[in-house]
Amino acid sequence: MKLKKVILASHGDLSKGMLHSIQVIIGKPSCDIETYSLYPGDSAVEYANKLNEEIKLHPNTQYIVIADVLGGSVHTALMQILDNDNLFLYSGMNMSMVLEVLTCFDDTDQEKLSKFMEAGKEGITLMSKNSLVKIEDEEF
Amino acid sequence: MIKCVRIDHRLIHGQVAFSWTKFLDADCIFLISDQLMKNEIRMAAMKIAKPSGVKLVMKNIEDAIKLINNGSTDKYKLFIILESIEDAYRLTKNVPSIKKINIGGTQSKDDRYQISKAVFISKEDEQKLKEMIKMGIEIEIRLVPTDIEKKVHFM
Repeated sequence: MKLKKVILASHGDLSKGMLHSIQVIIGKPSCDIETYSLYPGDSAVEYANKLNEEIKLHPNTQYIVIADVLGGSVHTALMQILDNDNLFLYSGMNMSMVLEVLTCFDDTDQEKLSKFMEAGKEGITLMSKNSLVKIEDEEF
Repeated sequence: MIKCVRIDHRLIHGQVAFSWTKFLDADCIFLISDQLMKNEIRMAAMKIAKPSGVKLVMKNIEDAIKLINNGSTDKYKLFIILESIEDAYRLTKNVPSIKKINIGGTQSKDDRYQISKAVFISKEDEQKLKEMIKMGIEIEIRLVPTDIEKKVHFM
């Protein structure tokens, strides 16, 4: 199976907190995972350049980077290194999406990568007493 | 085919929904509980907590026994989740094909003592576990699939 590395990247400690919360649910992830936090005064571009060098040194590793917000400085900086074939960049990090990514034990192809994003979108809902979703009961 | 029978008082929640279903490669989660069937909001919550791409069926114990024994569930890779040791005992007494039970967590109560980080049992539970072990059922404690299996046995 192809090597996979997941990076959670955010402004501040969201990425660290996300990893912590995920581990409460699934325990230690089976793939290589790290977090990046951009703090005031740091340069996201500098980080992206460093990551770019790492990615180029590991052409056989699939890099799945999950950034916090579309168009934020972390995401924008990371977009600049998308010329790497083995880099896949998400924005809009949320727990549903990260859980899907980290519990995929098989090879992650393009179709799966899209499915993870869909899971993240489907995980966003609004409920109240009067709008409790009516879902049909299933039978065998 | 029954892939796994698990006891977890929370039924479907993060741990179960994501890690176990994928680990087991199950295509159907079967929740068996008399209490659950009486609580519509809780049933709705289970449907929402269910991982995508997996079927979810909920039944009381009596109906579940019939469905498993008459072959209705055979074509599914079943992940059965029960709420308590008592329910597991009632089910296994009537479903001989169950040979192994995983305990994820049971509720802590005044009359229960702790046998593992998330597992609390009463004297009656202990008795039922002993009987199930005598029936040849293997009982192991494991919260998430990647944890090490802890076999349950009594002195």
